[in-house]
Amino acid sequence: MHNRKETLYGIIFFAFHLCIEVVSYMLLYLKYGTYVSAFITLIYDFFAFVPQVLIGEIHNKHKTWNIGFIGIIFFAIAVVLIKAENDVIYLLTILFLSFANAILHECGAIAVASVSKKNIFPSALFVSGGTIGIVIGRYFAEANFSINYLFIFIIIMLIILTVTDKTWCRNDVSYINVNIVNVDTGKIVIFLSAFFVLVVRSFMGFVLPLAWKVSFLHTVLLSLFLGIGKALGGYLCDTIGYKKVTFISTILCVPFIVFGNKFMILSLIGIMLFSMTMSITYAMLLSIIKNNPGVAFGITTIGLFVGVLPLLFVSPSDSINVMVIVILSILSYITLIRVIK
Amino acid sequence: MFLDLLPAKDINFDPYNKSETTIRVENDNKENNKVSKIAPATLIVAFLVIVAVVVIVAVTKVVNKELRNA
Repeated sequence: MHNRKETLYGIIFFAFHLCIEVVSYMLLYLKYGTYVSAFITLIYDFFAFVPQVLIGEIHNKHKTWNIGFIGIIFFAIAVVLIKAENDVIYLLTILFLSFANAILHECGAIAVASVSKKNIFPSALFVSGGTIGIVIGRYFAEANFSINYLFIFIIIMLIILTVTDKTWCRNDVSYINVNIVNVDTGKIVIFLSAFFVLVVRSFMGFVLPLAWKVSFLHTVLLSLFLGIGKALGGYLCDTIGYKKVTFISTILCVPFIVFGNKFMILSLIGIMLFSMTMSITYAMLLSIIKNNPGVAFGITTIGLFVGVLPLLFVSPSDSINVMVIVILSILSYITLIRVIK
Repeated sequence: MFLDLLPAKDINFDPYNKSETTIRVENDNKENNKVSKIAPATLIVAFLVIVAVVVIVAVTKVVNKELRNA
């Protein structure tokens, strides 16, 4: 069902995404150690997540431009500037870091969408690389690794961009063509449904009850299962269908998450199932925004940003979290099942 | 005249019996420090807010256009 080229691209851009997050998160956590201030997080998240739609649109208008090279330059500048003690220069570094992150995410999403014809699995593979990269980047920062190592990751990204350039930077490129929604529902309703679920899932991802997570090894396991879930979700969407995966990722995951608060294995299974939703919402947007995967992917990242926003200002307690998880999961299921074919 | 040119911390004085000139120099330094710290921060936040608003408007336009075209 999945051809070799699209799976290969999925794997290559899994590594690409991993490199993006290693560089971003090591630089982000380098100054603050284990805790990054809400103000810096807000700036970083906004400029890394929200402008991706614009980058997708720029690429759509100038398809032969490999905008990824600008992202690489921004990353290199950020690595050099991060050593500066001045607060103004530090903020400038965060801006370079955010824009580099946004540009390179878009390149990965567009490149994978240009080789995949109907399957969402390669895109899911690409996305799953990020969760692993985040934990590696944070570890590098906390263990005080030399930032010079980051140039290895930057060079890997540069090589991937150069090698794949001919595939996705062409005027006659065609993109993934999925159609998983009832178009009769109306494009605005489908868009709002996908966006609502994206925001809700992003929010839920940060309020999951994880009493068992007390060490760095637990964080590694959590990221690993999140990554596996994202990739597996894409594979299952292509093989057993989007409706079944919708049920698995919104309803079936709930008991595992709720009762897994103190039981790591249960919780990890629940989180793996929970993270499968990503492929569904991305495919919904690809179904209504044809021939512009950059914009479709950018909308998903805006949803992630909006979902995180409330948590920069409040932190709900565990008992409230369980209620919120149950209610939002049911709402997500109802919202998705009404528009998916 | 000479005291006006010196920073307050370099002046040898009894802290409970400050001269009028010393107090004035200390206050001037405090004011200068306040101005030099606040101004860049305010400018940066204002700049970021403006850029953020421009980004949000542009993103809304692109998404709106794509949904109408689709």
